[in-house]
Amino acid sequence: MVMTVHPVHQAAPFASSRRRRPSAVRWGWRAAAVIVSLALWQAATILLGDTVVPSPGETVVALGQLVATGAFWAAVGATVGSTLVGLAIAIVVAVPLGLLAGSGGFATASTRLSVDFLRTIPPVTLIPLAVLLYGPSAEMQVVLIVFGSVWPLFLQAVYAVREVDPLLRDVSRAFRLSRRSLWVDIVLPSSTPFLLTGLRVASTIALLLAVAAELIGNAPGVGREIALAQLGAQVPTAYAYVVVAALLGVALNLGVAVAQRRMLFWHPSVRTEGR
Amino acid sequence: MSSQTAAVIEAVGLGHAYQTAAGTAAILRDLQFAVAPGEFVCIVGSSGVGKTTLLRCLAGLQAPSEGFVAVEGSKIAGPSAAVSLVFQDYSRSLLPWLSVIDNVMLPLKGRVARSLRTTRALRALADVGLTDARDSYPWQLSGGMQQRVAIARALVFEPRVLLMDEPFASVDAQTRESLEDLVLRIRNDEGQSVVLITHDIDEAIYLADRVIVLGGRPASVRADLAVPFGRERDQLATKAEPRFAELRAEVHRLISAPAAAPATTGGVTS
Amino acid sequence: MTSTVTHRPARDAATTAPNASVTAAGQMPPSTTAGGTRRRLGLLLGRVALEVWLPVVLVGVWWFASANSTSPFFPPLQKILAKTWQVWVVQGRVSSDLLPSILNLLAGYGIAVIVGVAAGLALGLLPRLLDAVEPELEFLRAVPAVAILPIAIIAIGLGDDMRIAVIAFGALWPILVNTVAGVRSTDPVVRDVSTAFRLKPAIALFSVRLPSAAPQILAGARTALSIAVVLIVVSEMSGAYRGIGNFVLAAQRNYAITDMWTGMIVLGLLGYALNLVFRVVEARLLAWHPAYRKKGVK
Repeated sequence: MVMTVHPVHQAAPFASSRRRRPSAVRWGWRAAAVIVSLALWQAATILLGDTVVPSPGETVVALGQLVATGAFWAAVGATVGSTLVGLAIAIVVAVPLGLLAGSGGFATASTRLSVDFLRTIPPVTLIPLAVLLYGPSAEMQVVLIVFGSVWPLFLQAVYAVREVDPLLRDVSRAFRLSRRSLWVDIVLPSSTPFLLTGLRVASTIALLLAVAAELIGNAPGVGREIALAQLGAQVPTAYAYVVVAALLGVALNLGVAVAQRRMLFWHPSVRTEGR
Repeated sequence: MSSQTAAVIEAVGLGHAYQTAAGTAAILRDLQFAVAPGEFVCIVGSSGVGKTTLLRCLAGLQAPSEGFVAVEGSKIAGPSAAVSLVFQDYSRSLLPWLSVIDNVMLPLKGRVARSLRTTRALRALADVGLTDARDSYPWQLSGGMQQRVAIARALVFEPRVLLMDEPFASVDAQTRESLEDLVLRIRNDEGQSVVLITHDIDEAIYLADRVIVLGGRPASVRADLAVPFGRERDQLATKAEPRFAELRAEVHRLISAPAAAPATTGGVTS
Repeated sequence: MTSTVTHRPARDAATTAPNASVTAAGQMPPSTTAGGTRRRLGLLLGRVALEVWLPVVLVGVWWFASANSTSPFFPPLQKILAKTWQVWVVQGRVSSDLLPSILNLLAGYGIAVIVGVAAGLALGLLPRLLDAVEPELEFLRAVPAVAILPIAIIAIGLGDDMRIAVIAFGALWPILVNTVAGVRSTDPVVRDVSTAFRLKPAIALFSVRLPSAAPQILAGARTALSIAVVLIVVSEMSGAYRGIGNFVLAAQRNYAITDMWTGMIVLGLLGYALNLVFRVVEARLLAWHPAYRKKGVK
């Protein structure tokens, strides 16, 4: 099935220096880059006026004020909670089905066309319907997240099963391993890289849909706060919440990266080669 | 190697070490040899002795940590125009998105006008017997044919020296024999020097005018043996010569000897 | 490192069907007898049936389950399909609503591709620069693109240029990240070929580095496409006066449920069609790649 991604080549997006010891020079350059970016931001504020683009300073101040409020944490909690719940449900649904679909030719062939069509439906299409059914609530949000996140997980699971090295299957047959052992000791571990890649893609989609559900469907969360701030012309607050959304994304990416490193210590993409 | 004949490529006091987590590991030390124009030199050694490192230094892909490589008398600081390289892994060194003839022409791109490029590429393909495959893609060809394409690509440069890194290691025995004879014929017809790295002793003796044995840790030239069979060789006849067996035994002994063993009889080169 | 396989084309059912012997390109072996022709036809029909039975069943279930539906939110499928034809084709909404959406989408996507590939190439080839800006890039690409929408409205307004900008921003990151990764993961042997033959920098870039990164770039472009579709719909759901996103939301607000469903169906078809076009383009660009090759002499 198309749209699958080989884990070795999605392992670490920038991966500029996986094992180089960070030196003062490197961090010096990075600090310089940050300073340049902030300067550019400030220039944009000056050019466009601070009612359009608040300065970095104003944004930080707004963020500081927000952090002290309960409403802020409620919003963050709502977004994070829905994202994680949605992802969990998607994993539980998509991975077993995907592993199953990948292991039998009949199953793969039967599901291919349906999956191919359903996965290209932009999940946001469902927002109006979901709002009708569930109102502007967390349930609506979770339904949307699940619908959007199942596809990458499903497809990667199918891909994973089909990519199990035929040699390993021969090993299992030669040593007469039980079917259970084949799955637990061979198929599942060798599927992990693919599944984690699927998780990485799915988590990005999940967060995107969570915020979309909040923006458009008015579910509680960071996205709704951004929309409210924009409508109320509280521009620094809006920017502050966008920064928060980005930080949530970074945290999610980090979480998946840590999981990858932990679970894939044996995989060529993660283990050090001693170059 | 008499100093009167100008070497087309030579290694002078060549040494290389690299950094590991545990410290500095010296791979090559004090490597010295020179190749005369038109000479076929095979370099043999056990696995891991440093043959690939040596080849990369000769090709200019890597700067040695000691000494230098000279091509036609001048020290090189990178790949030289007079030297062409045939890689071991043809399936990765030929670009899969280019047809055979585009692959062969690639080194000339931007240097030579298109019509001339095509002419030279076709000539190189004819030299290796692959004129008909010009519009195929490398991955549509067998392993032996792919390696011929790689050889043609190396030849299109009209180099003075052809460097070959275990070029026939990944092909079957029959194909290997025909490729060996191909390279011999090319050298006989066009007169380049060839430096061929291999772990196959028979291949080394069959092809070479001189066999250089690398050994030791760090590796240096353990022996430099002259091979007396002349330019016309035959897979069956040459290998049946008694001298062939003697050389084979000698090289085998030299490769397997522990680091401190001295090189003895067997015709140290002049 | 072996070639960068980032995709698998749809596998033939025939690879698992017991009697069919077909090539990877899905062509039946030639047959010389009349009985053979009938058998070929039977096998072909069998393969088609294998792939099609589930979608047919699902649509059928939908059709019949909704036929007598009293739920306001799930009108009969028959009614939805009829309305779809009427609203989109007869009333011409394809050109008045769908077309502007597609054009904005393509404009934003096009910008993202050009900027993403160019910047990705530059960063991939300049590791020190990449290392310096890496923290910023990690931050910026983690922004859920829809979050940008309100501040884009503040900065640019409610017009099409805002939509194009938002789409460009959202679609940029997968392309950029993947281009960088693709360039950096060039097979070392290929890099050696470039060095050993002393290829001119422009040749090395366009004949070697870019094609070798192409599979990965296209993987990023595919993700970027789905993000772009999400963004065009979402951006039209806020403050637009036309466009398919606007249509669906307006229909929901006006409680024109059937109309809303027609919009959803059109959106589904749009997503599918865009993906199909993408696959065709990708197959063309990557015809040389192991995953797409027609089996040759080898």
